[in-house]
Amino acid sequence: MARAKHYVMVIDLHACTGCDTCSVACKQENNLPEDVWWTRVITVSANGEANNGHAYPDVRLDYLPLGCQHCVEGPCVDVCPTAATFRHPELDCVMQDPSLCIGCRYCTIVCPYTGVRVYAQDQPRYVLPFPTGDNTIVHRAQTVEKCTFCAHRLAQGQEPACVAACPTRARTFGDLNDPDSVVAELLRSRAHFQLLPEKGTVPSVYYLI
Amino acid sequence: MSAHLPPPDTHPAPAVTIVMAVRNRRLYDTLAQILGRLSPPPRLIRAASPAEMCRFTAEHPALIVADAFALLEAHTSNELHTVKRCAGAAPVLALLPADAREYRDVAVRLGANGMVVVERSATDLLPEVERLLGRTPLVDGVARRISSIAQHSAPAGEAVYDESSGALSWLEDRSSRAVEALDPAGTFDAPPAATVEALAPDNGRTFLRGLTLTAAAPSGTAGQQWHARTACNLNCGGHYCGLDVTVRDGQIVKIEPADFPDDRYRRVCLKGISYVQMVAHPDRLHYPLKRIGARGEGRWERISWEQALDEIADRMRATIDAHSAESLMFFPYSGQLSALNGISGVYLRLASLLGASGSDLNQFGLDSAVPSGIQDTFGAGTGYLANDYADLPNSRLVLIWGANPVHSRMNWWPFFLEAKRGGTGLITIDPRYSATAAKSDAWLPVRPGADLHLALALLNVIVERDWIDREFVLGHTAAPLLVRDDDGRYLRASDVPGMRGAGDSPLVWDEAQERAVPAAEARQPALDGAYAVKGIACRPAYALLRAMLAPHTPDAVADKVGLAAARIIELARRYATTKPARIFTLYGIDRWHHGATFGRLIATLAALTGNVGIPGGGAGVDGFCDSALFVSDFTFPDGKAYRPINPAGLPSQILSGEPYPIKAAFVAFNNWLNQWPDRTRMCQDVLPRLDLLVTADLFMTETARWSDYVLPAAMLFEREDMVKGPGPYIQYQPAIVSPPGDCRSDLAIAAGLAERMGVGEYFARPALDYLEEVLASAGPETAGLSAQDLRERGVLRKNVPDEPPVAHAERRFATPTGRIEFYVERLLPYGRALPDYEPPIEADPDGALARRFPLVCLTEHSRYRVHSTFGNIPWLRELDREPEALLHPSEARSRGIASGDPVRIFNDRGYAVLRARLSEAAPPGAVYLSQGWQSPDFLDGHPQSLTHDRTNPANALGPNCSFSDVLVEIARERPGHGAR
Repeated sequence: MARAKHYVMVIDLHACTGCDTCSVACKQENNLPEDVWWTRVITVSANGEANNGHAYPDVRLDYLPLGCQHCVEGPCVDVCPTAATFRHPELDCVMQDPSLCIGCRYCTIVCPYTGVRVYAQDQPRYVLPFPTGDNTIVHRAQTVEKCTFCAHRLAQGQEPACVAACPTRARTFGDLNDPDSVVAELLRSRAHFQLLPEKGTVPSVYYLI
Repeated sequence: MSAHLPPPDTHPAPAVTIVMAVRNRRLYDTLAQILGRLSPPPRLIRAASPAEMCRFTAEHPALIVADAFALLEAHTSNELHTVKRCAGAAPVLALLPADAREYRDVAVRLGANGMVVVERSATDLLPEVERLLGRTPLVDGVARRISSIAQHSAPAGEAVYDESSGALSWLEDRSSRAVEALDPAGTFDAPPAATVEALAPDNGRTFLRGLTLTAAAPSGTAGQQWHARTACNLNCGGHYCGLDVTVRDGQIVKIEPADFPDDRYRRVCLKGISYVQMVAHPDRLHYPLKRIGARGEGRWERISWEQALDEIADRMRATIDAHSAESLMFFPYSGQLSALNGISGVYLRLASLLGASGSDLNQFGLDSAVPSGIQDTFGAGTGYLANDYADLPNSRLVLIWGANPVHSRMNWWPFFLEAKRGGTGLITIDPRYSATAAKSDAWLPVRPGADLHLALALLNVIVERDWIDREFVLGHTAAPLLVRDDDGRYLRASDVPGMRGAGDSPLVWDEAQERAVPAAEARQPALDGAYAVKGIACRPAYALLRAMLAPHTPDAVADKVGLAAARIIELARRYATTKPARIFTLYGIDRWHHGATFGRLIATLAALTGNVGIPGGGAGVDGFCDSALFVSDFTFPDGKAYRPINPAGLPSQILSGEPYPIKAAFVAFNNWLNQWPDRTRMCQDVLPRLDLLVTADLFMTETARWSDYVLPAAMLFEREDMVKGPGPYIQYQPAIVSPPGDCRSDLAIAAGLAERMGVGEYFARPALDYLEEVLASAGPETAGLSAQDLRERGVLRKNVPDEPPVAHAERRFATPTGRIEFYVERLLPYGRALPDYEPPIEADPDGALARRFPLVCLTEHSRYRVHSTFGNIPWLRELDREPEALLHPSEARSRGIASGDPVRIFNDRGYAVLRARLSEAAPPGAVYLSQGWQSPDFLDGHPQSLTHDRTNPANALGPNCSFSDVLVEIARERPGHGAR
């Protein structure tokens, strides 16, 4: 009996330097319009509470790439009235179909990971007169968009664009249900955390520490 | 092997609470004992069942240690999921009964964040616990960030309302920022409401003035699609990333990293990908332009290539006739580094053929101070020599000093990462908490410009405590060589009657023979003492060094450097006793008047500790043993050579006419007016002296705008060429798409001029022929390689060994004494034979000027640009919207400046107006600017008007620009004043 895939993204925070190459690779691959980003890098001061006395030179700095967490039990899939948000049956990622999306933003409201979605209020705008990348998506006004784990590339047996582009190889992608996969080995051997585990969404993104 | 130095005085950490879900009492006691070694000891709560554990989560534990499999025996996995859910945000560390993959898989599935095999608890438990606890601030910070904002998507480009702070705030997503200002009002930067309006009209998009934003053609991949392989050729640090280019319907639509036989060189960066927006950028120059009105007015008439080349050639001939061939200056620079269409290519070839002046390829005019010092120490030709980047993993310790490679060598950083993973310690020395500091094991903050004090103190400690590698010092350095008291020169056999037979060998005092002998003959060379050799009083150079270092004790410099003496001593100890150790620098300190002395001091540190010529060792800039440029017979056809001019001396030469006048300049791959200092003097005094200024470029840059003619050049994707790199490779650059409009390759532009100047035949052959010529005459590493072969395969390996090259591996030093010289006779006339302290030329905290202009103005490299290239790329501008002045909150508070306020930075030479950004990562006493922005990007003024072109006459590699040795003051710009 074939086991279903469980695609996960594993991001090594030791290797991530916050260069945003992944963000731009995604922007290119998905022909994202002006001001739309499906993944971005957050810069975090690890000093804890604001101004709790930490000052130069006792400072810290970390980078964390943030995009859709492709939750196994994501509430977004449940609440979408038009099934524009759905879990892909074979590719196992949470998809967003702009042709079905009516821009109600219920998905955004119930998602605990604020910032991973973009609401395109106005007509998409571009500087180039031709599309870039290989995602055939057509961006529309008044729809919600987000990372799709490059489903169009997964279907061809390729990794997501952000993973392929990362110069420090901080990002790894694979099937966690395959015990021989690189992602399974990474999670077995390195300490890691997930974002907001207490919300019970069972995210598919892991951060190695 | 840890590189940890005594940490800065931190606030004592509060005791954490750890819940131990461990049934077995003896196991619990053992673990409790281990955990008691944490400082401070944690508060432990024991839970014997999942239900009990859930009750204790009210204690808000920092960590849960779970003997998951023992619990599994008694409970179901559902109950263990309860453990994870009760844990909430606290990390869970699972104890494994054995190191078996199946146990690990189960632990991952149960949501464990870390694992320790029980029988290895003694060694593994504490590190894993510290790792998980150490990450808590990061995890909490992110969680707070993403859940504190009201549930609201981020509308593209719009502000998001933050209920908790009651103020508008931007969704933080730009990693160009360092540590955010720790603003007591909120958890992240909230520009005060008053400035939001100022931001709104352009939203930072002034660069898109005149650009029409259109909807793209419908998406789809219908039509022909094919791939080509090329390489980037920018001066970002010799990365030369291979590019896999997708072309669809004649347009470049995608760029990905290309493959290499060694996969470590397969990489690209956000800029390389963004070429997609550069090729078809609406602002690309398409037609030759001729100036109407005054220079800099920005009014142009479009002309044909015929007319452009005819007129330019006529005016060049007129200049040559009126003055001399040398009065015409060809000024290509590092904007492009390809063999033909690059700094060392077609324009210098033309210059050679005409007997004109051209960019000096041996004296760059910047990036040359530190290498001057390295060269004085290690010998001719070594200024830019360092162990290859691929050698980094061989180091046990790397000092990254005056460099921010995470930003400016971002695709060499993976070699640093590989080193770190292998146990190499990385210590960053930088006034600012940079991205590199954040990824290092330790960061030592030094005051801006105080690096020499630190280097001298390190040498003082190493010498006083005799932590030197005596054998290396005696055998390979000038340490034992005798120096005459009378004229300060090395004592040579030819100086001594009765020793003439030994030629001019330098002499040492042999303690075994109790006399002076040539160094090779000594059995026991002395490192100290004073001697008289046939009446000539002299001392070993090491004794002179030691005397020079004597006042520079850690205690004496601690305040100047800003580090406690104990930390300086510990750094010296760590560096001297961890071998092999490498000192890695770039050009941060090169931008100071005393950059060469810094180069000498770090080279001396490496020499005294024997870290020279060994894998993992070294001291120098970058990581190349071979030049990243092709310099060959192509540049010097028929043995002809242009007259080289150091660009840092060019403005003065234009003004003074000495040693000969320069009356015309042809500029390419070079944003002269934006990137070189003293912009006010350039515009008002220097450029007006030129009868002719021509710029070939892709865009209307700062320099192009001031020119008489602007010629539209082709991009790397539009002409055939090759690059020398990265690492052991060379790469082919095919012509993939046609140049747009009337753009022409630089080869074609040079050919057009050459024809009219009577030397057209030197540019008439196909590009591939010239590539063959370059490969054949660019040195042994490329000799025998065929350009045809390169074209077919895209990548070829140079004739180099497999092991990463090590600088000075043969330990032959082309200095006057044949040894590593920290005592340099050449510098005697400057009083600098020894590398003693040299104050900044302007940014001296003790100088009088500092009272009027108390801030050092430092510039850094951004990862969103290479100098000014990529500054107009929309994708990148969305991430890095506008120039910012980075300021420590204490400097801002005292001046009434809040984050986001427009501020004026000024000194007696000029000013720039831009927005301030507060950060705890910036040191007090400085303001940081990011270089490469151009005039339209600023609210007013230009930072290059703040800099000066004062040079250090002692530098071996000639005049160098001291961009950072600059003092400024900063003031809040009054609303409505100076803003666009």
